[in-house]
Amino acid sequence: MNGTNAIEVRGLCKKFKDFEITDLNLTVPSGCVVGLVGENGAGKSTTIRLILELMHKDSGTITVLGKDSMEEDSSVRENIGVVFDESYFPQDLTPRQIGNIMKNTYRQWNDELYVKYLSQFELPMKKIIRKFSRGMKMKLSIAAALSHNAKLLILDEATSGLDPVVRDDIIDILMDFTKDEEHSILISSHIVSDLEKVCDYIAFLHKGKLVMYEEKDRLYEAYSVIHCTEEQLKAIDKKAVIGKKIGRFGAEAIVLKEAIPEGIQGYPIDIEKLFIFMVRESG
Amino acid sequence: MKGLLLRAWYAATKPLTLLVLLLFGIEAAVPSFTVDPNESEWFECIIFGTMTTLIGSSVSVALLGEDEMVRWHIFSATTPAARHTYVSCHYLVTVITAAVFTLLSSLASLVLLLKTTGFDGKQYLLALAVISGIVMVVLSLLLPAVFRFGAKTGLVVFIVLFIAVVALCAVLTVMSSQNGEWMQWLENTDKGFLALGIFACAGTIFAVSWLLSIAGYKRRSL
Repeated sequence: MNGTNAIEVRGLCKKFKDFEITDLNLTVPSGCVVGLVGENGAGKSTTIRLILELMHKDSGTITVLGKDSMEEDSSVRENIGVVFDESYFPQDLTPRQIGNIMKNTYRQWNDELYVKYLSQFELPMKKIIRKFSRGMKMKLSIAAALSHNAKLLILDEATSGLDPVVRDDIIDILMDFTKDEEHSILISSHIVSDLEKVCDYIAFLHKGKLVMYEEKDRLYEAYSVIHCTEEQLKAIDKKAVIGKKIGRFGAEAIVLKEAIPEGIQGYPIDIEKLFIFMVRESG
Repeated sequence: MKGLLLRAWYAATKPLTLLVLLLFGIEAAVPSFTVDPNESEWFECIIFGTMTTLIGSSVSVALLGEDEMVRWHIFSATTPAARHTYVSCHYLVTVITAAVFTLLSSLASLVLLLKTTGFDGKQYLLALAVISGIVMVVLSLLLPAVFRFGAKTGLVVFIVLFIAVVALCAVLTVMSSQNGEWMQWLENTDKGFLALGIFACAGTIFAVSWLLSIAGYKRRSL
């Protein structure tokens, strides 16, 4: 392992009948949280599945925890915790039985920690998963992913469809996980506000292409929202305009701070607005 | 592997699954108590045993179907249990269930032998070989299709193979009742040797099927 990146994706391509991932480059630095943002169908889940080798790439390289092939090296999978958009556990099992299966699957399984998480999430040990609510199922998946001392967490739309309280709980858990500097997270979601809370880097995917990859703080530093007239907007260098919305009452745009003309007030951006403007701009 | 086997065990010991398995177990052993010693029903016992064993042994295929339904197979591919381990686990479950059901089914042959000609080890071995041979060959053809293309395709293949086995059994029944050349050849052949031959062929086909399934499953997008 190079010691700096938990995941490195270079020139990743995958073609389907009606969709393709094109020349994707993505890095998850060790100790960081990278949020993969994109609209439905942007290629977030496909990218994660390619990283996890659940499907085969057409070209490019993927390195996870320093290894090129997870399939051939089980030690990599020992160190990864995965949470999908739904609980993929057999529905007729109980959390206790899931724990037993995991204990016999992961060498570093920590049963005490698992029980602690179940207790913290108020999940009953002996109730079958089928009777759990969606939030409870997702918490169980997260408890399982966190209980084998994983260095890397990969979450694919793990917060989608959950109520704000449960989502907030999950974000808190993830923030706890990243207190250890060796721990990294790749998290995909189209709920940008969740990612905004926890991520160090934001990667925007649109129609299978990575349209932006930037440190979150750098986005705040570099860009502002402006409100102006259409004419004032036209006067700004087009390259500095990330996205715009023109309405009856004027224009709203996200622009590089250094390109804002004097006399126009710049306001702090939020990632969700940036995302929406970028998607609209990209068409 | 232990984790995956434990998951299979939990699935197999679910009350409903246990009930179904118990029913097939009883059904497989029923001829043991109903055979008429005055009639040669040995072939019928084998055919009946083969059908019940085949259905009972396909529990691993049902397990694969359930895995796909809840997408446990996707989750397992992200754990240290690699894809080849997942395939091997299901083959092991298949062997275990096939062995249990074959033994239950062959009880019928055993009882018939005891009631008529007395215990003939070679003939009993032949009954075991025929039942397990047919079942193993059918599952050997079925499992690579399930692993490569998924449980839905597997179900279609299973139905086709089941019909083929029914047809084969019908042909065997007709042949046995006609007492023709084929039956005479069977009478004159060393049954122990024949049983070993069937075991060896079925075992080889099963091993090739296992390797094919691993190769197919590794190529599959989950």
